[in-house]
Amino acid sequence: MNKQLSDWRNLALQFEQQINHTVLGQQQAVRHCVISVFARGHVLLEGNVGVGKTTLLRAIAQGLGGDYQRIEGTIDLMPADLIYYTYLDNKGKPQVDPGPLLKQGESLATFFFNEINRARPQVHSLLLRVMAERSISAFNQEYQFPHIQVFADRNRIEREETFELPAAARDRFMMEINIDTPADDSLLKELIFNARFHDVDSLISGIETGNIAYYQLNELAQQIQQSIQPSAMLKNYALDLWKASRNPKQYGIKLSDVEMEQLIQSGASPRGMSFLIRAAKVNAWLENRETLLPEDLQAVFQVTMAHRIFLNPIYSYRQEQLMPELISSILERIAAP
Amino acid sequence: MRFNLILVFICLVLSSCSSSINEPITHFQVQTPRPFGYVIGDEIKQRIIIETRDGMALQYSSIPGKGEMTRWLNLNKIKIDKSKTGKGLRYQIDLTYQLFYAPLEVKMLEIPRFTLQFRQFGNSIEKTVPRWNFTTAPLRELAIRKQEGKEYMRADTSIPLLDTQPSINRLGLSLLMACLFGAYLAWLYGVLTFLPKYQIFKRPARQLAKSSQGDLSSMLDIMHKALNNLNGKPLFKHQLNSFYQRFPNYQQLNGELVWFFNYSNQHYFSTDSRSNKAENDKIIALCQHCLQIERGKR
Repeated sequence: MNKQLSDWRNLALQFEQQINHTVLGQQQAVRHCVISVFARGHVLLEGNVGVGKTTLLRAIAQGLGGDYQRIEGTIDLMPADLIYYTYLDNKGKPQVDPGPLLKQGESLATFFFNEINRARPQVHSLLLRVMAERSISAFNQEYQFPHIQVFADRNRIEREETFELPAAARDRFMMEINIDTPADDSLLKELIFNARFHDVDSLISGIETGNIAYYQLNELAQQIQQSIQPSAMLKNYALDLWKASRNPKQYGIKLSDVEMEQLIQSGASPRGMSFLIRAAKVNAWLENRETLLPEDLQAVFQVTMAHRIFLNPIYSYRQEQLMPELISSILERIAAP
Repeated sequence: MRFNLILVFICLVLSSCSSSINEPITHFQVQTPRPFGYVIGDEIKQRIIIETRDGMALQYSSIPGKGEMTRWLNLNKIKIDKSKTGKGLRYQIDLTYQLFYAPLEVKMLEIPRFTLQFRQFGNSIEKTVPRWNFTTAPLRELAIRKQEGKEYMRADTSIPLLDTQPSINRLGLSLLMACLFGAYLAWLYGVLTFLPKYQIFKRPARQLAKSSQGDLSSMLDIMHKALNNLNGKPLFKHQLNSFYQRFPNYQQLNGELVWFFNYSNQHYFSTDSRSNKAENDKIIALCQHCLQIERGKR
């Protein structure tokens, strides 16, 4: 590994350590977020309310520098609300100001869409373009967001008056990361009683800014992807994982009380697999390796694949139980070599 | 006249008192069973009950010793009970004789007499247990009479056999349990090498020994498949700790297994792959060590 990448790796680990110091008991979620930052992928967060999703994102935004914008998804939110807002100024004249997306211009680095499933599909489609092309058209011109990374959140408790993300929208997200309440009692006591965690603003301000500049991430991500090349054996392994996610029965995968040939409606897309490899390469880089190993793919398989595999409607009500079983069965079934 | 009567009464009382106080043996009785109907092998029990004044010590040596008393009489058992009574001591002697006389016809025999000795204050007192006569008869008549070619003697009734079925059942159950425990111990100690569980590394070890040194990929494949087979699912380097929790015996090979996975990763996933004989031999040695562990020899 060249010295520049090695230096960046040290900074990335420091960055991860600082976030872990800010958000307790979420090491795995933090590791996945850090991977997504250096793989330049968008992230869908899922978890209960108040478990630290926003704090985690603010910590990431603070560490990376750049501008941070946040919008709450509501049922009456329209695409235009992301681009501009109108008001009467103090002279009574109508004014049009840039909305959350346009306000920071090219320096917008982290965009947090809270409760995305409460927004209408029209809003989703605008966001899809931002995520896919990192640009939008407004006021007869193109606006570029070269450094933007979208984090969207949906809470798993309330399902009423929500619009489930369409498959195309979910596929644009590199990862779906679950944020759970820590299980360790000592961590829970720390979160409850330590005053440091009561004031989120001061907690976030403790994170150093600028060690990793947001505007350098695209170039760094490119270097990481180029420096780590998969072997033929690993390509076969990734291909087997993909095929198994589309046709698990062919690979001898069985789940209890499931007709395996009817389980999958649609497997992971090629874009999803490219996301998997990108994330796996970043994992290898963080582990200080130039070799991409099966364990790198396994480390990110759940978060990059689970939201891209669509179950048959007759099994979708058991999705939360079946999907983790399916993912772990795939990983336990496919050997390399 | 009146004076004479009183004098006679006092004399009578004194005489009765003096006899009861001075008599060393106040009661002597020999209890014997019926005196007839004995055949060879029968036991004859004799009980002697003696009551003495206090302090009279029976000399046990005066009682006949166990064993052969005459040519045909054995004393098998002697039991002596000594107890206190209100006036003195009570001895109960139980003697069990066994008869070995085979008479040709009914015959009278006798248990010989013997003398019991007691001692007190240096004085010795004897009491003779009288001989006891009884008759014994042959088991059958010795002279065989034949009438019209028929045997006088009839065959004995067949002896009813003891019911051995419960014992046989218990023996069978015990043997079954012993076999089960034996099989369990054999399984535990890895003696049952014909079970599939102990065959995982057998064939790979043979294949590796035969494989050519240049074919590193096939050697690695063989070893990976064997480990995956043991683990029940693909085994990767980062899963070694959980593997050791399930198969703790393989923890001793940690160094070799880590080396193997690193070597395999380098060969399969890195551009810098090399093969040399020394390292290939290490794969063969690892497989042999795994084989020894599954056979319980390591």
